[in-house]
Amino acid sequence: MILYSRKLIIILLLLFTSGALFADTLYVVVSDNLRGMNFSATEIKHILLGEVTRVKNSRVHLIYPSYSSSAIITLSKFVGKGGSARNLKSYWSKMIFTGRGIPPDTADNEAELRRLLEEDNSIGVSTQSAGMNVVFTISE
Amino acid sequence: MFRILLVNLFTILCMIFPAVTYGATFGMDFLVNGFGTVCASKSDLPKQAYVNIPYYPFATTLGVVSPYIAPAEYTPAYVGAGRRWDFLPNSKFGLQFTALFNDKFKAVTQLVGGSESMTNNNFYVQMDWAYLQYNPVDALDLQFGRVRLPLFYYSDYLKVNHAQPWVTPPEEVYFISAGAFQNLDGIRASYSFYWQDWTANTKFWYGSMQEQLSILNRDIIVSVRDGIGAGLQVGNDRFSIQGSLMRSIYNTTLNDPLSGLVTATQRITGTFASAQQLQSMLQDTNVPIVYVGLALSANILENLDLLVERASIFSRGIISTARLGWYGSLTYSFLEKYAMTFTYGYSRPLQTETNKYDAVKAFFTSPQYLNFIDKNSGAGAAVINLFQTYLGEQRSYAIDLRYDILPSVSLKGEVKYITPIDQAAYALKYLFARVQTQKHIWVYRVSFDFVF
Repeated sequence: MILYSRKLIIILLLLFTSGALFADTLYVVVSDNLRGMNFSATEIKHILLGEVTRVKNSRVHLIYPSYSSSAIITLSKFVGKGGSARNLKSYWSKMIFTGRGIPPDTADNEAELRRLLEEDNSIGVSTQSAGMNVVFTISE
Repeated sequence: MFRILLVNLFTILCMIFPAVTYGATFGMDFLVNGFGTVCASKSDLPKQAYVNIPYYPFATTLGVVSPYIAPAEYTPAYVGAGRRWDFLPNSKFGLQFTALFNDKFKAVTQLVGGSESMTNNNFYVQMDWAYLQYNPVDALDLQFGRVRLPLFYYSDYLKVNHAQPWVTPPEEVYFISAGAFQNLDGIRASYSFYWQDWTANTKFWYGSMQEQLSILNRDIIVSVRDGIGAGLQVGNDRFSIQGSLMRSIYNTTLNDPLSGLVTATQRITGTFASAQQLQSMLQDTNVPIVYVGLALSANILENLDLLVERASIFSRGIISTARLGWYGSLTYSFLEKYAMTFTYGYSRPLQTETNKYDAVKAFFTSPQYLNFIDKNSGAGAAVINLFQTYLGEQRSYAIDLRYDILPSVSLKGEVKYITPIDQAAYALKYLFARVQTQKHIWVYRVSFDFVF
């Protein structure tokens, strides 16, 4: 009986705290040509949502972490999608299939992110800041 | 022949393009994205039913020939859900091609294929989007070509089921015009304002559209021209409201047989009030149709979302409809990959629709028609019954469960209970989707949705 109660408590905790299990600090990192630029939180949010598509008069190359990573949860919270990978994916489905947005590239690891950042006007999200051009920090 | 070629082309595209989703050709970027739904539906409606179809072969040089009725067998279905599990009605596949010419110009084409019930074809492959877009600045989109009508909250991506919490969107709003007229050939402009966490998006559109439908065993042309509309959405991360309004001019060829019958009756019996009233309503050309959509969405708690939406369509035309529908959905997300959605829906005809039915009934029960034309054929009663199908009023309750297998792949299940209400005065009861029933019905749906 006690065992069942414990399982029930664990299940309930999982149900009601599921969004809080992935606390992370994320860094918004950019390609070399954007190094030193200043962005406000609102500007970063609009860029990461594909609402602002141009910086320095050129199209932004957006890079997301993998949708199965914990970083995507933090990113989803920051851009107002409730900390849910599903909500973020649904948002991008809407942007893509209404022709409004170009889907972000996804980087499965830091090496891939660094490779993608070699392209001018790239803006991505990383869990590490060392050796990167960090323009903004997203913290929980 | 042309259809076979289209299907073959579609199949080849499906095989080729998932492998190449991004490329650079002739100095421009080229993207391919897609979406799909495999959906099985079932209800507890009967397997087979009959409907009496009236025929009027009266226009001969010898005078009026009595009308007659012929019972036609059909398979009842509620928005694609018939007695047996069926994968066809709600399954679909879409491919979108985007060519980015430069930072300001792009072309988008979206092909969608699926099973078809509103025409005599068994399937359709159509372009939902086909436009050239110009972005002079980030906040302004100008689209020229075939665009979606952005009337309701999910209208723009209605066929991308993966982006929605339900197996199928609530029909009380999204089936209000029976799935017709979701696109427009013309121009669409959208402008966004940003202020701190708030965004305001305005849309304007203008254009026309024509469709060929199969109604009462006849192919008819229905067209919409001078469609002009505007929409406004204001919101932040937790809350948004949306309103839209569209007016268009509607034409159809379906009213011709009835109009001829009324004229013939008056020729024989003389002019009488109910014939005059019906004849004036049957002048169903250049009829204005007005659509109104309102939506409110709110993130109430971290894992709890509310969406309430109301839609109305208003037309005084005898064939087009005047109806109101709304729904409220509460979605609870849990364990990262699961979501449960409870939806309550309601739909009823507007008084204008009831007035149309009353005018039809007054003429077809008049002594002039019954004694001189009908002569106990029952055809008049069949017409009355057909028009009663537009009066269906219903409530519905649905539970949808969603499991995200991957971020781009989801599995959903839905159970829906639909009950006809406030139709005690009528011999038969109808759901708003023009389905005859004497009781509540249950609908079950399972879907597998994906995007790439």
